[in-house]
Amino acid sequence: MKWTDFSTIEDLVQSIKTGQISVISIVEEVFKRIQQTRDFQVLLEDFEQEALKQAKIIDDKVRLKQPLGRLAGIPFMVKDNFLTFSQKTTAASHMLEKFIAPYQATSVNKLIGEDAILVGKANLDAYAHGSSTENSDFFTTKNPYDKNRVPGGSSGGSAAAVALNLVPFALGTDTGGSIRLPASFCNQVGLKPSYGLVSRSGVVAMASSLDCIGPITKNVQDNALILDIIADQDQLDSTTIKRDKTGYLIDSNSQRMVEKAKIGVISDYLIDGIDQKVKTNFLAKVELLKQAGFQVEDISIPLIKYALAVYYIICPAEISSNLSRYDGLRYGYHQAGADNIETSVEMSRSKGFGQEAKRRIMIGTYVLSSGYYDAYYKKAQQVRTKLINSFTELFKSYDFLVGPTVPTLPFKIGEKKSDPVEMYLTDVMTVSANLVGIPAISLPAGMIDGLPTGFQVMANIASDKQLLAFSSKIEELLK
Amino acid sequence: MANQLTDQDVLKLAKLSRLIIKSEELEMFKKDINEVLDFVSMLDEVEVEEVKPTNQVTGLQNVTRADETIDYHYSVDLFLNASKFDNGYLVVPKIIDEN
Repeated sequence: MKWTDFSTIEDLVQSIKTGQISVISIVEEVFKRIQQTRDFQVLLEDFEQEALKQAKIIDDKVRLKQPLGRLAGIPFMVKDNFLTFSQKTTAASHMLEKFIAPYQATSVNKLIGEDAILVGKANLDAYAHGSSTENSDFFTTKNPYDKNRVPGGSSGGSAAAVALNLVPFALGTDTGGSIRLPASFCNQVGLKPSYGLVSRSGVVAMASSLDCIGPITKNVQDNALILDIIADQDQLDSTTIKRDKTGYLIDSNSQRMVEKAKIGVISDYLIDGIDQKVKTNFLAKVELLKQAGFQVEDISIPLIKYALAVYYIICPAEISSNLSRYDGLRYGYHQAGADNIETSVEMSRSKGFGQEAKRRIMIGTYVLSSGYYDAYYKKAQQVRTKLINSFTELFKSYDFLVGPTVPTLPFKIGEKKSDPVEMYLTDVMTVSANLVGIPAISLPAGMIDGLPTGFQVMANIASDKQLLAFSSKIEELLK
Repeated sequence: MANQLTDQDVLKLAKLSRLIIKSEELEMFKKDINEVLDFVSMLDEVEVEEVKPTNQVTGLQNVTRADETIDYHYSVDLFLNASKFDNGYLVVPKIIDEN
């Protein structure tokens, strides 16, 4: 039996622990598949020798009946903006091309602490700036369902890795949709948890008030398991919040809680800028929810049409601040030849950053500059407050809000690359959850013309457990 | 809002951002930045008087921990990422002009 034949990670771990399947055979299969799928350009680094060594250690532990973690022998990948100790962490940028991480992300520590095996690091848009992986400074990952199309981004490598059966789960980061969008384009389950639920320590910062870390998996149960392991307060990230006392696993109790869930359909997402096929498919799934006995009503959030504009002020502002640390001296790309420090910094940054990073740094610098701060940055923060209030109000009457994850099907490589605003519009349905801080998940919602589409569910802040329980109830229905 | 940035504005912005823009990139950056500023100018329509700005969503305040030293054994690795180091110091180009 191969690991890909198991329907859940939990089942696979059970078979590993009882010695029915060896970890070595799993890891060998992983690297065989990595070789077979090289064309898709999913990985930036892989760790075959280390992973095989780890596999042997766990197989030995099984034989000697020693205690094993909850993810014993499970291979996984992380997006290459997670620091992994003494390994390269590039964020798919020239700036960090040679950067060796001197410590490790808290979330990676937690997974390895449960005996999971890191097998590689996945491609992304450089610094997670993008929606397609086309902004990677190295190469574009291809969609597993159509090589001419993008896998979505920025966690495109992570989503493609799970879709191509390279690993049963991968971690991504989501600042404006970067987990949910590629999950949708690659037909996987992608969760952006509540802001602060998973420590950001050891993850290359993009926009600190929006950045979230979450799992991309094949099904909701696996997603809940990984969240249950990585969600925790962390002394190394003072923005982390308390986890749910009962954890995040799906149980009969949590499923009962959502049996009579009241659902609001965000009608504003269905008006313009949406592919008609995506809309028709989405509405058909909503019909299925009604038939399943859920109370479903159309709702409207008039302010939601401003969410993307708010995002494209706040996000570049925070990016320009976070990327100001790259001086080419302490770490990162260094351009030699300058005779003073200012020129040295300018030369290193100009060579090390790609176009999209430069564009966002300059927009951020502009909206934060004296004279424009109130008109742009402060204004965006105020509209953010109003948007949060709209959602808070709605969650008094509704348990979950639903909509498509992305307004279009996976687009062709190159199709949107030359038009930044067009590319930004890909995030129009996902950014609100980041601005509001609420959890949101993308679930596979069937295929249209052979291409995947996603169904997004949002819940109130810190209701990640309810969100997962509800998602597991509807996931079969949506497929 | 929605001012159109000129070549001079973009060059100044690049300088403030510690970036050098090549002359052949100037037109592209100017166009892209202006398009984004034009797009976000829709916020002009929203009334925000008396609305408090949101900096963060957790509501957490004054998060502290005990001020204790935690051993860190990898200081050498930190230096290995630097452009130049010598005897436990980072070496940088000169900061103060001789004149």
